[in-house]
Amino acid sequence: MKILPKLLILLLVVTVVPLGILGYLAVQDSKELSMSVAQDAETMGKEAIADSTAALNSLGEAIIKQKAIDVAKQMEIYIRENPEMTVEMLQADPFFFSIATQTVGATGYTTAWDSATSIDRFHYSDHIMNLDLHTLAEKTPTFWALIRGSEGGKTISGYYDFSEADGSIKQKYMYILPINAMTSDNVVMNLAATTYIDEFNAPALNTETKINQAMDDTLARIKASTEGLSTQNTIIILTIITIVVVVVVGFFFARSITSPLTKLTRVAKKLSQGDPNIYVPLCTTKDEIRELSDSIRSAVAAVMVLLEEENQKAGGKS
Amino acid sequence: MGTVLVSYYEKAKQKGGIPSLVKLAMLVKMSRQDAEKLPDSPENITIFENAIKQL
Repeated sequence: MKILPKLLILLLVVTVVPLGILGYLAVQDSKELSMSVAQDAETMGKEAIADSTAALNSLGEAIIKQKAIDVAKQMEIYIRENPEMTVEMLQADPFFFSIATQTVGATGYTTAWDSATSIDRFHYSDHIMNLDLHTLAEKTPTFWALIRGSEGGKTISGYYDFSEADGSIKQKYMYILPINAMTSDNVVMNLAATTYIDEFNAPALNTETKINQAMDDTLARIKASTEGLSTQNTIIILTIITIVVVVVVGFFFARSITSPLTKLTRVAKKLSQGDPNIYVPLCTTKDEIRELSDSIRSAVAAVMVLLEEENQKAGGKS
Repeated sequence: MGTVLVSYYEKAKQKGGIPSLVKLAMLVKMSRQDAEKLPDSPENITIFENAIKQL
């Protein structure tokens, strides 16, 4: 193989191969880095949402508890102020009824029941009024567990599952405490405040949805940009441009070396064939080829002078 | 053309024979025939003068 193709192949190998390797590694690194950043951001987002949700839940629990305490105290004051009133009389008293069945949050409420019989005495719903809560024990076991836990005038709080009309189950938080007053018919009641906890943590859940959506979009964009055709096309185009540039530049570079060598080779061939019409081209570069050219010119001049001398001698003899 | 330059080959031959003649040709990098084709310019004469001094 001649020097020109050898140099071209060498230049291509030393430029295109590293470029390809670097391009591949760069794509892999950028993909890993992007995925790592996205996963870190997702983890931070989830932790922030979990903390926010826990904080909002605690806030909601505190609000529900305070409402229960306030309503129980209001009922206690009213009952103490009206010691002659029985439960039935209190049920018929719109003012007391409005005290006992206050709203909690957006959809919650307070309710009071006979702590001895677990019969609900004050509830905004007519269906529950005077209902024996034991009847709910089987249908709503987590609710009943809280009711039963409050027996004997104990304060208790916790979550229970509530069946919605559409069959879905949502969590409610309930705070139960005793009302420290007795009606004229010797009834002591418990008061509960309850509502859906997601009334309070809804902002965090909305933010979680937005973060999840943003993370999905970001991950999809990262995936598309690292695995999509655009990146591969960019690498292919860059490789082709590099090959073209290397071939063009390499060709002229290699020819600047091989061209004077080719001319000097022709001179050497003519010299070896005894051709007297030898012209050694001048080399204008300042490199090893110039030194070779000068040496060949000197050698050719010496040979030619000897030939001239021999010719003169031969001419003189004849 | 080149008559002065050609005369240097004779000087070299007189000075040291064939070896000097060959050495002059190697120093100026041209044969007698090539020198005949060149003008007797001051630059060329200087080259030959310097070469003769090295013999």
